[in-house]
Amino acid sequence: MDEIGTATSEDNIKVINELRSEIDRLTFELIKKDKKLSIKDEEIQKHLYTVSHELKTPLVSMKGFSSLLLAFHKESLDKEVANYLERINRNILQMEQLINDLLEYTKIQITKAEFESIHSSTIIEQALSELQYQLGKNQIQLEIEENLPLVSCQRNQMVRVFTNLISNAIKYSHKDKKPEIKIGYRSDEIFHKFYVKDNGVGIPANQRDKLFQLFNRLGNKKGVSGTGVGLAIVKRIIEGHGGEIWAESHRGKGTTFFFTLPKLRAATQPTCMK
Amino acid sequence: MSENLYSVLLIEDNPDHVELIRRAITSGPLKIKLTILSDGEDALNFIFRKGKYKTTGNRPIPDLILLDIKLPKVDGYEILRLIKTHAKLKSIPIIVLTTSARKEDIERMYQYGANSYIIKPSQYHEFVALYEKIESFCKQRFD
Repeated sequence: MDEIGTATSEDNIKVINELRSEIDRLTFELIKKDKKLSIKDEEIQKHLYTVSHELKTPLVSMKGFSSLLLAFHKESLDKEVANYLERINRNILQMEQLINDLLEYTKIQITKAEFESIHSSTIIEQALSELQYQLGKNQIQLEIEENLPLVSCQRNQMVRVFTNLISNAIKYSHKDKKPEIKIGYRSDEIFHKFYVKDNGVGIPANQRDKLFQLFNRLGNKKGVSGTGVGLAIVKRIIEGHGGEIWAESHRGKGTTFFFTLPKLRAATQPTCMK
Repeated sequence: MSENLYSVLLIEDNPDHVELIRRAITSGPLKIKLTILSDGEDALNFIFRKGKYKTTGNRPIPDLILLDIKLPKVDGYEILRLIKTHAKLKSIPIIVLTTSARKEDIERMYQYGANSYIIKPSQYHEFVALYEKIESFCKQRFD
């Protein structure tokens, strides 16, 4: 029995050692692949930045000359010509916005060294002050929960998250309803979970899986301007912080965007009340 | 109104941007002699009086340089560095003309010694802003 027992235990140790070295090998492979992927991602971002920047050069000329024509020669132009020129100018501005958003997207870099511990209500207040005009103009009824926590994040990027989500909620409000936006928070052991809820038009089912893709415009609500980069930016920022983002939506009833942020030791202390 | 004639050197390779900047520069009462050069190497020869500019007589040093960054042969950063590390020429104010409002790009321009930067003008208010900046730098030179 002893002999068999010893043999079994030696066998076990051998197997465990083999498994350990296999785990080490796979971990090493994984780290190598992850590094390669990060380098590739960096390269893609760099190329995207260069392309976006190069596109700006002819745009400056187009915008410059059409602006000069409209500023100094509009009166002498035929009505139809002036109208076409204004259309060209509008499209140039839209293209410029698109390139700027794309540049913004490529610029996002989440670095832990720039994280700060900040109360999420401060971040939301900053986002709301940036959207003051739109909120007032659209007579938005705003509700913000009071149990908001302290978070560890890159402040400006997190302001951008809330600005984009709230701005989306404003843009896609329902024309027959008084627009309402609610910002709230839930907590579990590992994550802070925020949500931005609206009672707007909702997202069509066939659009939901493309929601966070670049250049994807939500639905086709008339008169809504945008480039389809805003939610892609939000996703990139949240994932850069180690969180996740998703949406739940009901056509005609509204959309709720949820996102999580990992709790850090400093942030797991009792939450501050607003 | 000032009667001084200011000498401005524009280093820019895109002919459309040259035209837009020229338009901005000449939109006010300031009297400006504008020299336009379209590649970095030529610009350095002009500023340091080398090559074909070695024997062209006693030209005044520019009162102001407007500098694009992406240039053929020698880029704007190198031009900035060479001028701003030259004992006699470093006092020439240099405004960098750019299409980028990126924080890192702007910081880099100042690191290399730019006195100011301006987004290339493409709207009426930007033309006015460029003219005002040029006017302010030129006048400081003569104060």
